[in-house]
Amino acid sequence: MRKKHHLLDHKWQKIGFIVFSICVLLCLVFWQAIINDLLPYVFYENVKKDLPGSGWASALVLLLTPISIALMALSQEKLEDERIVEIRHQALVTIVIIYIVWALLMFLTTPFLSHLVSPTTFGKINMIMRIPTGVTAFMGYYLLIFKLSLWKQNRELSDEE
Amino acid sequence: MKNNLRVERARVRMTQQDLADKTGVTRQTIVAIEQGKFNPSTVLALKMARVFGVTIETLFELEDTD
Repeated sequence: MRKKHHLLDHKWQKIGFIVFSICVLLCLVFWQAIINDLLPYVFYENVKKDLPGSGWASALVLLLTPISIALMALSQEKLEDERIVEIRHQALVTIVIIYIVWALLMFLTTPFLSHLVSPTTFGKINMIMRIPTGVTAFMGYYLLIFKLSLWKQNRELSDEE
Repeated sequence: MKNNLRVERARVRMTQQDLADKTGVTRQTIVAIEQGKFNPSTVLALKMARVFGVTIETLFELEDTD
């Protein structure tokens, strides 16, 4: 009796990792141009945008990063057994709880923040806090928790023979 | 849940890796089961019982706290 995991094959995880590495390399090479292109999304401000190569590099990073993270998050491990499936479930539950707490905190603190700081500053804070609620960040955090839990448990269990 | 996996494994002189290969799981999963950190599914428990040629009750038994 074989269970269906609805996950992609393990090779997609490798492809996702390679694409993600390319994104990181692009960020390192064109870091200034990419920051200048992405900052307006965060702070609604126009910073210098006349740097050469900023357009295509930023566009590639914006397009490929979510795809690569999704590939890594949605593909199975080399040997996806029931213990790994359980760790996957725990990671998913953890990240959902974190997002619910985050959403509640935002909901409860927004009226106070809007009275404490100026509308422009409030807009900036609100935008910064909204970024991690995106789907990419959700998948990224989930992947991080899952991989860390798996690594930690495997390390604990590998010692014994 | 108590288990006699280590005893049965020693009886047939089988390594954790051998058992993992025969049941289609990782070696770490076998270690986790032996240490009582992970309870296997019915299918995996049956597979293990088949490998050792014993009944499932020989391998696993419920404790009062379960």
